[in-house]
Amino acid sequence: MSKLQVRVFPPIMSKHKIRILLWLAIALIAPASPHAQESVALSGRVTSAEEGAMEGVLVSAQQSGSPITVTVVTDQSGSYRFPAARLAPGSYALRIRAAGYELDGAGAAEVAAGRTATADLRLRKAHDLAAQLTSTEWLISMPGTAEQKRPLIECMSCHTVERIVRSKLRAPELAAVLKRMQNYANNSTVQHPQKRVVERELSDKRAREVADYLETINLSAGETSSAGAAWSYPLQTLPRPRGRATRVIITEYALPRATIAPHDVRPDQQGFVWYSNFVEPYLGRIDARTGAHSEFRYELPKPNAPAGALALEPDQDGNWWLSMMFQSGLVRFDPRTQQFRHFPIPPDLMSDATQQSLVMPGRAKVDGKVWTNDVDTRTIMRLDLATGAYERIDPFRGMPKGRQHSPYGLAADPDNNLYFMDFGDESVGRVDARTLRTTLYPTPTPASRPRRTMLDPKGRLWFAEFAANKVAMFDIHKESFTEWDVPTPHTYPYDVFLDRNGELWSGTMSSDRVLRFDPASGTSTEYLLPQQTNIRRVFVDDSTTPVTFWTGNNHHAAIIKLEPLD
Amino acid sequence: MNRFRVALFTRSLVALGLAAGVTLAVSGGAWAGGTGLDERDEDEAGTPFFGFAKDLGLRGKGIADTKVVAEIKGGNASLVTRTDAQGHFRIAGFGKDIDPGTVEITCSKEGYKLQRAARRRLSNDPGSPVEVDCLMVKQ
Repeated sequence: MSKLQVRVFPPIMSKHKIRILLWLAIALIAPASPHAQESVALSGRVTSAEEGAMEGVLVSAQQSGSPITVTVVTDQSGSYRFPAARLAPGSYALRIRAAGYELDGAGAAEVAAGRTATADLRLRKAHDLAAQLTSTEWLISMPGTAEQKRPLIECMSCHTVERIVRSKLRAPELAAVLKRMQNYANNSTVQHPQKRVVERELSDKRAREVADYLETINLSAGETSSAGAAWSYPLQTLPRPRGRATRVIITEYALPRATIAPHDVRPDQQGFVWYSNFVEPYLGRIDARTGAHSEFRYELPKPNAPAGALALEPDQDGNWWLSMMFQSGLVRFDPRTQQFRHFPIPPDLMSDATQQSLVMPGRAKVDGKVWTNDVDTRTIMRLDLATGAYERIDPFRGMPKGRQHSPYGLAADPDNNLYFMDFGDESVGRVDARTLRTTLYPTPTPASRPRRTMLDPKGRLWFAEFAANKVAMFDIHKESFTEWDVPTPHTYPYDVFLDRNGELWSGTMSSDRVLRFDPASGTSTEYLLPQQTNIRRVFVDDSTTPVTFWTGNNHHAAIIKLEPLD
Repeated sequence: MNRFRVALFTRSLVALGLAAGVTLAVSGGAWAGGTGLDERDEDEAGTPFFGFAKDLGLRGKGIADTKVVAEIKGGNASLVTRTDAQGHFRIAGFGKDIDPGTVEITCSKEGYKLQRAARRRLSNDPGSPVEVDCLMVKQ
């Protein structure tokens, strides 16, 4: 490259001038590809007896005492490299992720300033493959029809499928467990289960149907092999990352308590990354530069009800809004004064089961109205900021009673008309802000269960079809849908985000992978994450080059930054 | 029976098959503040509507990508879908407590005018599908 540049310069130019111009050229090129020419703090090669050099192995480095873990992926030659800017001098623990393998011995490295440390890693066959399977891989491995497997996607809200397949319970005991599980709140994790105030019923018949199937995929038959537990079906793993999927840096910011369950994650302009805590009454944030963590506590209007907020959305004044789930109502946080204001649901619209899971304040300046939902009554609600009053809109009046409905992902157009996902069923809905007339648009795929959404400036509503294993777009002007299958079965995408390049990013509760999908070409890349990761809301920061993907690990108390090395 | 009528009859059979097929295919998980493990109870489903948007100027040829709106008269909500490449649509419909006679079906597409929505009930059984053909002419 430098030879070519030298060749085009006029011959009268001095060597000194050429050198300056070369430096300038490098300086101009460098920002477009920040990782390509960086000096390396730590590098090495990953090999195994079975494969030799291994592509697609995730290598993670965590400095002693630091909440930050940085992960890179081996290339085709089995080599990995940590840029110097990502690892400060110090002692690092190393770990790997490669399905079917584990690190042979302890991984460690000493990183010093100004030179490249080397740590070649040797892998051996994993002695407990089952412990490495994602929920997606369990669902692929287990026998059964799609209808039989589908109920398990409900379980992933609180725990992995591994917990189910490792159980030794028979159908009658499993049925009792299923009925008991109905009484935990949606905002429960293994670390912090929360009981509902109002119990939910699951019929004996349905519980037994599901339990009869679960008995066929767990360890109730009591079979064992020399390696320990054995299932009646082979365990299948997805391929390791290849090519483009290996060109990535993933940074995990561990949060200070294992119980913290980040649900929605959003960076701001000041370098902070904010998150809603799904199981505790805090709004949290980290400093993306240092990993420093702060929390802001809000009051619990219902101390006996489950705590935690689901959605985190900004308004046009820079405030953050949280939907308070079973605590009912909304809270607004002003980051300048660091004060919360609660907007309670009035007594005549409230019950013990009232649940606001989503909020959309994005266009409140238009008419002074903020949208939310009530899961209990499967209705839309709208808050009047001037009076604090709520009104209720039932978009499913007249619809068949035998179907579940649940207004979920919300988006507002420039006139503050609402678009919502009917997560319980199969429609995208619209509520006219002036007339409150509602329109339902059934998705082309039945029972798709559209989940979270975003509206782009062109009026395209991008959303995840959770149960259909698809991502989709609804053009609000043309009133028409386009759907795309995600590449891996049993992914169950939770959310999507369209970046400035027209690529979609999606996450899931089940596969430990981040999907990057180009709707124009149909090509996709799946980035494997370093550990078991339960993803909810996803966000792409378009201000960086390349773009930066952010999300939370809802079950393992971490904020995740993923930077593709394009 | 002339060719046009045969074509319409064939399309009606196809549409009926599609209507029945979709009804049978729709099953699976559901959720809403509910248990999430419950299945749909299709016994509560009301009258489905299906049919074609037809170009009267082209001997009833189906019109693709036509907007179809189902609305309860005097209500404040509507269901919207679009016709497929053959001009066919199906709307699963409202609840079984909704009288299908109170449901209006209208079609619209740029460059076309709806002349008439011709409807007929396939049988008098409760829940029996209603066929609605949107007869359209180019403007």
